[in-house]
Amino acid sequence: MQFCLRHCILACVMLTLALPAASAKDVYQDPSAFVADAFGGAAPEPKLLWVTRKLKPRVREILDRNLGQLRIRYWARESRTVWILDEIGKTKPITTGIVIDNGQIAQLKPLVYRESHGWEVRYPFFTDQFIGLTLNNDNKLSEHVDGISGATLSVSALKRVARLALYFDAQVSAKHD
Amino acid sequence: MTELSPNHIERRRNGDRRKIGKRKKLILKWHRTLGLVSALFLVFLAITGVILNHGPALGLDGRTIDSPWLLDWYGMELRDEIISYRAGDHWLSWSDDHLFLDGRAVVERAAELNGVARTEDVIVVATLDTVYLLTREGDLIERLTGAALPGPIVRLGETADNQLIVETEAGRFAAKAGFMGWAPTELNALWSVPTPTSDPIRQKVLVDYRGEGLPWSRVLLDLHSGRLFGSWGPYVMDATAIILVILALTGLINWKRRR
Repeated sequence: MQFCLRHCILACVMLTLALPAASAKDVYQDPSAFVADAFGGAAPEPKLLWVTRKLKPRVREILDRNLGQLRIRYWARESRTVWILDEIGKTKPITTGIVIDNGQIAQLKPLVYRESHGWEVRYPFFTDQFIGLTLNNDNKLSEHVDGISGATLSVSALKRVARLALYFDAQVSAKHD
Repeated sequence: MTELSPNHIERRRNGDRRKIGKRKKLILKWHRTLGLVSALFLVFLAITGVILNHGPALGLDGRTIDSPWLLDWYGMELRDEIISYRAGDHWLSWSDDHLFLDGRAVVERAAELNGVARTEDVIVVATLDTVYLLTREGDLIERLTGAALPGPIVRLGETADNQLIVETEAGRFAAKAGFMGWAPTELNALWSVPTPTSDPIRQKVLVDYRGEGLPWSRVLLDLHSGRLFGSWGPYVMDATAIILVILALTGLINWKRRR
């Protein structure tokens, strides 16, 4: 009996130690595959959006920090743009793919998750809330997105990248109009 | 009960006065001694207290310290060895998930470097899953990951005519103009390899890294509480605070007696 208990405790300890390692970097979908899927299997050539001095204040307002890089890569065809953005949840970046069509979010999907908590944001019950959302004049999402208890920081990070992708989409769309 | 003679009463009064005078002198003596002993600590407490009170306005949290001996005192050592590469006249160094350009941290959360190169106006830094494009001043132009890379990068090099090549598990790829894509290639390259970190660069990396983690507010708070002086420091400051209370009380007693 005591032998069995000891083994159970050992197994629990090993499982506990193994869990963070297992969730160190979860790739839900390869970013290249996400981009290709968004364009029916064949991704167009990437384009660049330079984060100019004009854009920086709005970007800072959305992220609550500077973007930290001078240009952003995106993929575009007709009314559709695709963005792969990294944003920190608690301590590590979450790589998220966002598809914008006609100024509305068509899909938002966490692609690479590196945090140990908050991975529930990957599920459709949460990400489906973003579909159809647009950006208000004050750079806020047009509808409220319900949070997930225990994943507050990850939820906030995804809301920020959703707003940022919509803002960037508006910039590149304005350029083409 | 026997009545006391006027002389006797006078003597007793004089005795009481002497006793009171003695006690007064003793209190004054202690007041002076404690004042002198604690003066330095009190000035120190007052100055650090005033500065801490206005910490946010003075930006103490944002300002960091680069004094090597103070950083050593706090035990802020780099966990990893500093690994450096040369790119033209620039040094790219890596340690503790930080990427340094000429000893200055330019990227956080960077994996270990697999190669460095420099085109005419861009410094290219490769890790296994990310390529960083930096200006010569160290501003990050773009972070290429996932969809923007041909695969995990094993090494980075340049051909004789300065074409940038990366080697992945799936083969070699040449960077297209503006790093907008990668084309498979069989070209040979001169691969980027680490070089021993020079002493000046090592010093700059250490100062920059350590400075990032030690704000002035932390040091001032530790000075104010005495923690900076070791385990006995807080007790010395406690003693100073107690002395301050005694000084206030003895001062009050003296003032009352003078009235």
